[in-house]
Amino acid sequence: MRLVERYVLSYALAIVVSGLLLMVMSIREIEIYYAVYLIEFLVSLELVASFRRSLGRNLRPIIIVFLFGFAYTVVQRILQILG
Amino acid sequence: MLYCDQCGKRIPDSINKLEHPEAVEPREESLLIRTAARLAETVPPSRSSDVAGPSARVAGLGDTTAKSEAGTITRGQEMHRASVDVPSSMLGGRQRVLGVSLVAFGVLIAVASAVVGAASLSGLGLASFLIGLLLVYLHSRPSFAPELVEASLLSSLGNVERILRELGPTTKAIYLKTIDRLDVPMVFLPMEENPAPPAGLNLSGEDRLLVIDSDDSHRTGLLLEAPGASLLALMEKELDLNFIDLGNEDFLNAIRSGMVESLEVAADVKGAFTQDGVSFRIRDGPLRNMSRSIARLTPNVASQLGCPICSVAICAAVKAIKRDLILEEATHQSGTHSVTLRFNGGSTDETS
Repeated sequence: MRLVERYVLSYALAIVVSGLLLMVMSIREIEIYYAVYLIEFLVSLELVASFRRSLGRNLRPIIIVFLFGFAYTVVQRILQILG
Repeated sequence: MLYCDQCGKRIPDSINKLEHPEAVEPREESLLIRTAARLAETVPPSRSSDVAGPSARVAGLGDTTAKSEAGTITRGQEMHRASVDVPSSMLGGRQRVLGVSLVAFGVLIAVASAVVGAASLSGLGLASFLIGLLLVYLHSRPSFAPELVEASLLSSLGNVERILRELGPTTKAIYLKTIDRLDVPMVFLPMEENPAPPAGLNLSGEDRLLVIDSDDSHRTGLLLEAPGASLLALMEKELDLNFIDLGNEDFLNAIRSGMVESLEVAADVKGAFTQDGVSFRIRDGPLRNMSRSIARLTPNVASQLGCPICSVAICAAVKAIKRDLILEEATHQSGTHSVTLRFNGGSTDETS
């Protein structure tokens, strides 16, 4: 199996398992799911990128999109608290 | 014995052959091969119609070969008939369909969870959406079939093969040590029989294909860029390291990581570092057809310089060890490469 395929599979496995765990723990906030998935994405990418730097560079747009999404949820939460 | 008109230095016999073609032994211009008959058995004509897109062109090439009768074809023609295997390009399409399906499924789950009021379900929807997004994005990156790599490489190696055949050096290649981090690994093929070249060849200043030094016959020969030099540069870029910084203990692991994980040009690499030299055993990965073609079509390149895959490992070793290495033996059997290298100028103990 190729490195990229292994990366996608391991990430998919990690977020499905963590998603189910969070469900079992009755967590209802989507921000927590998002944050956990983002951390898993970044950690797994860092593990794979040590072998292939170009993968990290190629996935930079996805990282930026994910981080924008995270920033959006954080801003929403801040506004909710302030409001 | 001939001497140069301008400088008066002696011209080696092997160079003389270049200027006087009649001095070169007649070589076989055509090869009787029965590839066509074999291909007709292995590649049925209907196979090309099953494959769409760029793969179909490759299969079509195989069909043409299959239809022709076994006959006398030149080595050049054999080169063009090398790639007939059909690449499995259908996987990419499936990946995209799976990605789009997962994105759609994720959105549906998120909407459904909002409607039903099951907030925890939206977490799984988000997971599905993210995996789908990743699959679609990764699919959009271009990837190339091993057949394309093989096709782009064979012509250049064919030219090197012709140079080796015409000049006829049967000596062992010496991979020259690199001094600077940015040095390109070079390989030197002495023109004259040279069982024990001197330890310090010092050809770092040379920028010629043909190096002629009548004072020292050891320094007369072909100076080529190593076939695996560019692959090594890519490997170093992917691993974000320079082999010149690695010690004798670390470089074997780095070669394995680079060739198996980063470049994916080999399935496994085993190396052994001894007092006399280094040996590698490389198991072929996705480029096994390319290795087979190189060993068959460019036998002198494969055995004297090493194929590009062997050469990557050799270049990395030369850079890490920082010594000239003589390529004692490079054999290419079905699916494996065996490379034996010897330190130029004696073992580690003798030189230290």
